[in-house]
Amino acid sequence: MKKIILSSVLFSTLAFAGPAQAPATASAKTTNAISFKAAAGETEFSAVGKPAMIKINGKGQGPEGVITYVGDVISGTVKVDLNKLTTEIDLRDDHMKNKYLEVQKYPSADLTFKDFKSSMAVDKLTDSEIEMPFTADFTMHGKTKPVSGTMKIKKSQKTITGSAEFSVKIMEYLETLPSYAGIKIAEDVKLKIKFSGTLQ
Amino acid sequence: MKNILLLFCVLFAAINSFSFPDMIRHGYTNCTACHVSPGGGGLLNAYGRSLSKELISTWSTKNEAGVLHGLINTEKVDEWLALGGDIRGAQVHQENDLVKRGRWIDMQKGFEIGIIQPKWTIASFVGLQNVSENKWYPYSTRYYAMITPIDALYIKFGRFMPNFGINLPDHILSTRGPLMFGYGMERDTAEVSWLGENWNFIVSHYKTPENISANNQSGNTLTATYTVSNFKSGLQFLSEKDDLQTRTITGAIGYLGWSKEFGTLFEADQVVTSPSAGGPDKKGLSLIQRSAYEIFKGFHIVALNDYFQSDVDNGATKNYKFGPGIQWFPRPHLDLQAFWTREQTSTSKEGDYAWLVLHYYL
Repeated sequence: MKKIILSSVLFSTLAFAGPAQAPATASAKTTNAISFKAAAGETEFSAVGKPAMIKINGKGQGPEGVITYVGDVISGTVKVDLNKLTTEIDLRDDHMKNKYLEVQKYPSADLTFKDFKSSMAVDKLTDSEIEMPFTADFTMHGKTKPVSGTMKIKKSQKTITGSAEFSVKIMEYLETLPSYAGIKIAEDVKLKIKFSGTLQ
Repeated sequence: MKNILLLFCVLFAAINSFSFPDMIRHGYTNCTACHVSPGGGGLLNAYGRSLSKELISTWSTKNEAGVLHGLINTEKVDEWLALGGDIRGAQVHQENDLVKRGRWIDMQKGFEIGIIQPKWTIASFVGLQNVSENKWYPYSTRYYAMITPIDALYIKFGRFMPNFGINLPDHILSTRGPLMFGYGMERDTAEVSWLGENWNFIVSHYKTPENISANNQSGNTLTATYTVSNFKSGLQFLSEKDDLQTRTITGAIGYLGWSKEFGTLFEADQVVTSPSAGGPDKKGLSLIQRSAYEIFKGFHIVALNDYFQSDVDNGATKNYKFGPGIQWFPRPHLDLQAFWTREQTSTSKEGDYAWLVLHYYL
């Protein structure tokens, strides 16, 4: 009887545990990584300056960091160097970086994915660009808030390229609404992060 | 000779400090980015002064863009007080088979002050004006009060130029002086402007002072533009009536910022004049196209086409100028424009028409 029970337990273990170790799903559990280099991408932001409805556009380097993925689940953080941002007006840049963003204290803005389940696994991406929604945490000036937006992405051999667009409410991150020479920016700031990463 | 001088004054004198619509290249689509007035020109706001250093001028030092080159610190009052002023003069040269003439003309000296509050503004220009040779006297042809009940909405009334067309300083252009938007044409005006992020609507009603027209002239203007990226274009309409005639102008305007360095301004207007006493309508045309390329910061080369015909059925009324020019902002407070065009008219052989405008603003 003991043998029968032992055999049953052994069989059950093999029967249920066995398939989980099968090669078909083993690759889905493998953790892969994508490395992003700042110089290969670009960050753009746009805001409206009131009351004159000025369009304030700025840009900087792309994101840098490593994102990992297991199948369609993405994790990791990429950072954008805020010191490299420019609106092409020196004095305005000085105000933006030193008075409001305090880049000496908070040198980067971070986009963090925590087990974000994307609509398509990275391995299944092709050289045809697809668009997918995403959610992440955005950290700036020492404060972190969830953001959501749209990502356009494609893969060509070992290179992943695309862009992520989302909006932030600037007062969720800063104490005062940035102003310069009588122009105050509207609360909503649009961000577009163009990225290029390499599969590792 | 006096008449010729007066004509030159009328064509060239720039009673306002005019705006710099080429700023469309940098994404500045509304005049209020730099100027207190929604129609542009005149008093600079603090942001405009900053841009005059940061974006426009070839050279500058830290506080040079400020009032009096930064010699006085206005930082504490910049939020509510705007100070300005202008000194402007022009050298003109015209040469063809019928005439050869040239002269330096002092045009303008004046001081402008504005009190700016979040919801209202008052401003006035007081200065000295050369209306005829060597005669100067104080005047204030531009003054207004403005209410800004909400962002982007401006309600302005006073004596000023109604908003119409591209506000370039060259009053010789067919879309300025010949359409009666040149020197000394400030009218008693009420104007409502909606200057949104993309759409602009400006509606004006004006009554022309008697020193300009003694015929009970009044009119209305409507301008609507739409901005996509660094491209702004739209339509405009003017309807004007006095004791002798009615005048309508229908036109299109465009501010095209092809790149940070290259931009084009164009305006095309059809003018229809109908005598009150009856008789046929007269149709005229005013067209300008002005493309500028910034060779280096502050220095622009310009190509100009300027066509005017007061009566399309009468070729003798045609005047076409085309040619190159430069515009240079060497330092904050200084700008100069120089054009050397070929002029075609039906009354003379093709000749030269050149002008140089020097402008110092406070």
